[in-house]
Amino acid sequence: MHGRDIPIAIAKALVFSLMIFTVFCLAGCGKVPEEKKILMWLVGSEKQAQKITELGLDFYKQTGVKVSCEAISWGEAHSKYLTSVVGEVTPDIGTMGLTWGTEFGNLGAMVDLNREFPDDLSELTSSIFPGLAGSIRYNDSIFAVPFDMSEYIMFYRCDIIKEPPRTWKALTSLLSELNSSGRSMIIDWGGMGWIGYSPFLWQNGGDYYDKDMTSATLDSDKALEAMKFFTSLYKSYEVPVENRPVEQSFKIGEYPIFISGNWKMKSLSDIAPELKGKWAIATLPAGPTGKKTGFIGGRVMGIFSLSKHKKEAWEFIKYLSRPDIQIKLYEDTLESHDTYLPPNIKTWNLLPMEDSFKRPLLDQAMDSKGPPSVLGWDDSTRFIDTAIQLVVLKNKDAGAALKDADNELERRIRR
Amino acid sequence: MDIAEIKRLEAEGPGRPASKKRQQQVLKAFVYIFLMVGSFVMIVPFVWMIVTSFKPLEEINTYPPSFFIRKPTIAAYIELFSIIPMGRYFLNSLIVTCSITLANIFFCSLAGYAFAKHRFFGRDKLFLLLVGSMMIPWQVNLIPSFVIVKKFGWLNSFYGLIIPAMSGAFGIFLMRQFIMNIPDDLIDAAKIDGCSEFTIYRRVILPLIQPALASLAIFTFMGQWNNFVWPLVIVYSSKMRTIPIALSVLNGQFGTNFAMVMAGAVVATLPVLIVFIAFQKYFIKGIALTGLKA
Amino acid sequence: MNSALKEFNKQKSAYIFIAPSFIIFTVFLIIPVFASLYWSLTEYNILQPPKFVGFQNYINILFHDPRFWKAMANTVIFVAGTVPTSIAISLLLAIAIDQNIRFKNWFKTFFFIPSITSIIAISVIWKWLYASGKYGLFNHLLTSIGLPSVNWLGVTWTLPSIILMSVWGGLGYNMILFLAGLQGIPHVFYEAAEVDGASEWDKFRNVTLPLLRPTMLFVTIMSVISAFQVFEQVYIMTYNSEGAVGGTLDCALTIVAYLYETGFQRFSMGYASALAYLIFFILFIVTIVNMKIVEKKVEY
Repeated sequence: MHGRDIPIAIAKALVFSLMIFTVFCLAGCGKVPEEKKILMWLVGSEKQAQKITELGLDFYKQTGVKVSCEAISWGEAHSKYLTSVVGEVTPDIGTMGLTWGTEFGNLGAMVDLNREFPDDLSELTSSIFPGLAGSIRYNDSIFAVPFDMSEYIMFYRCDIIKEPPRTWKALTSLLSELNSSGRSMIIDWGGMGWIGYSPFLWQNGGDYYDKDMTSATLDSDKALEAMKFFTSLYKSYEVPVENRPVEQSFKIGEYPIFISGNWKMKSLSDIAPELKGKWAIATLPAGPTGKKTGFIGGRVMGIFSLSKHKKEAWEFIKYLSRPDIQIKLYEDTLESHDTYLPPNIKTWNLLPMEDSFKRPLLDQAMDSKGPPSVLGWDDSTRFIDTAIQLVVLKNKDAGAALKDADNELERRIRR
Repeated sequence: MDIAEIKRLEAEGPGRPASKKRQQQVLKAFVYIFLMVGSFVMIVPFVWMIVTSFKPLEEINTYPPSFFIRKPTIAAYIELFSIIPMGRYFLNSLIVTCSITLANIFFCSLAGYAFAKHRFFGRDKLFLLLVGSMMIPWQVNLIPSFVIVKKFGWLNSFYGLIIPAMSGAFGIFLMRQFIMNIPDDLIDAAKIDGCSEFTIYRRVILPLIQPALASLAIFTFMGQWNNFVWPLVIVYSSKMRTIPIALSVLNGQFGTNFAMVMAGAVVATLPVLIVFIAFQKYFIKGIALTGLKA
Repeated sequence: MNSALKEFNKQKSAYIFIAPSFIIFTVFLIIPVFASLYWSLTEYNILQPPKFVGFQNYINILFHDPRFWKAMANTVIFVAGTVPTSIAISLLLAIAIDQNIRFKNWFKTFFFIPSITSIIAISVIWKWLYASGKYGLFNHLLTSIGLPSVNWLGVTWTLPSIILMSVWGGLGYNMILFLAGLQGIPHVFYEAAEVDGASEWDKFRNVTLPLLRPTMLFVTIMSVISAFQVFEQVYIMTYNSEGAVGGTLDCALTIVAYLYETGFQRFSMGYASALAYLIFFILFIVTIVNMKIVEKKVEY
């Protein structure tokens, strides 16, 4: 009696498992596509990803290649990309931080565009902002090209502050004045971190590495002066250490001036529409060297080595770099809560933006630098952050903190 | 009034009971106040969550923060289901959680029956191994599980989310304890009637352990619905996200649009709340069971 | 071997019944436990084959890694902050509910709801409650009674904030366990004490507490183990746009968060596996110590 029923028990178990597996498959666990299809990951909002998928429809009409775009968030992007590389299931195109292309390219995970598509590439990169160009090139390799750019800019209430500060001195005297009525400035993008510190470092004539990128130069006098000035903003001029809702504080005038990225232009008009006409943007205050160098960031896009449609992916990248498409991307952000500024100087001339905004943005962008193109940079930023935090929060000596950070950077340079 | 009370009243005489009664009344009042304040503290964050989810963008970061909404709107929910595909994430969570729950009920009760009522070679040693394994923290097998799932090609898929969790030591333990209480006579009677093992399992065991099955089902459902670390580690495309992951993404992406983050929290909490309220009895019994049995 | 085969044949059904569970158990628990042990002795980033380095990982962790010790300190503070507090409050709650009052089920439900809510949802809600400046609800409550606002998620307060939130979230669960324990105490004992003229406090101290020891032991061990493994709250509360976990200057970096960062953000799998085994070892010791301490007083 037993012998006959065991097979039935097995059969039942198999049927049950089959049922479960069918459920998975029906829920869509990957059908092999017959037509050409490329997948793009966008570090940004879902809305913008949808917009790109829409543009993909237009691209499909022209080329017969389907495009789908998914959104991922900045905080998880880096580990997501690494996981996908490790899991050997990468998208075709990935957008990422400026220096990540070099990092992943060095792992063999991304295509060296300079070797695969040299002619197209030089045309594409001929008109991008110089700050961007510096960050994407690594020796002779370029693993990703700019998708957009974000820049550091200063926002201020022009009804409260008549003249925006043009120098470091002017900034501190403005802050002293604001402090006396319990107000101050917010450093919103990169506050208490290396992104916030970089402009001051560069404006003082210092840098993270020397010209050949072979040794770290954070222990220079210039870096020290810049660090002292930057941290003094927090320690002596009441710039808040923690995050604040910038738009709100700006609206009620508690923080009538702040430094952040260009995307705040959009969120200000969304969250504080009644402030229209009462605020303006300006280039950053210049350091003792007279330079007002800002930080330029943004997203670059590259092709993953595991992609089965590299040529088609490159065509889409070129498509996204066309001035008319870039304008479309920009115009779309006027309705959504997104950010997009074209990385091409050529496109800027056609950009439908008010002159009072265009001029400072263009001006600042021409004098901006991106993160250094050194392998091991992404691993090193943490130590610069720690140095800044120790100086501001634990009163560590700035020189000692910089020396520690410099050592860590030095240890991680890989060529 | 039981014997003890009567005896005490007799011993104390007429004067005392009044003050003792008042003492007890004061104590009771204190207890009520304590519990009501406590309940309030428990509920307030949830109320704040719901209130925020219905606020328009301009009212989110107002000063002073208030529980009153001037212009309530469901814009956050609309965006949640149209832009973020929250519906898709809900479906993912549902598929994953239900599959794992069903599988657990089936596999754990099968194994529990075997351990409880069968004598086979290695039975006690294997069971000891099972119980001992419950002491191993999940961090130890997280990374290798990731690599194994990757080698099977199950990263970022339902297979990877469901299969590793289809059975567990805890479920088997629970089932065994329950099944051991079933009188052997019932099983022997069925055997005499010529039933196969599987039929005995289906017709005799399963009906008798329904309360334990229900408890296990609910435990598993709750635990898997809220599971965060494993999906975090193996899911990387937005299509395959489960609700806890979706929430953490909302947390990252929409720093200033808290209405949407809160709306996401509401959607994440509601199903579990409903299941809990409907099956409260089984759930609380189940937890008590684990406490007593251990 | 014939008899073994015969034995197997007789009990075929038993083996088949445990097969699915044991396959999963072996593949996803047994093998990983050993794999982890092996990898903890290597340098491994998945992209390239593992490189054997002996005990170097363990040595680096214990002697050259200040972040490990910071994580350990934070974790210990977290455990010390949440476990006694949660046990004390949930015991009080259980006793209160166990009294002869109405609306018992309502109260039980209210207190239990946070326990069934996803810790992610709770963290997200509390992150909003903890918002800085004057825009957060908590800060608003503070300032409205004249106290200064607190930077809840800044360097000094992140860990206490997470502790507060975790106690709030875990009360219901412990309360239910204590309730079950309380209901297991036969009323005879209370009556005997009353006959002897005991007050409420005496009854609590001499009847309730001692007879609750087994429950207390269980709750304590479970709470300590689970508190040690805290991760989700830390991940959500300290999440920032650079993807770093643990907050400014690692102020709330706990040991499991550190493991996550090492393994799944930097993909140093060997180092992370060594961390995992250290956690295992620590938990093992902690459980044994716990049992010895509480058991000493169980004899009654």
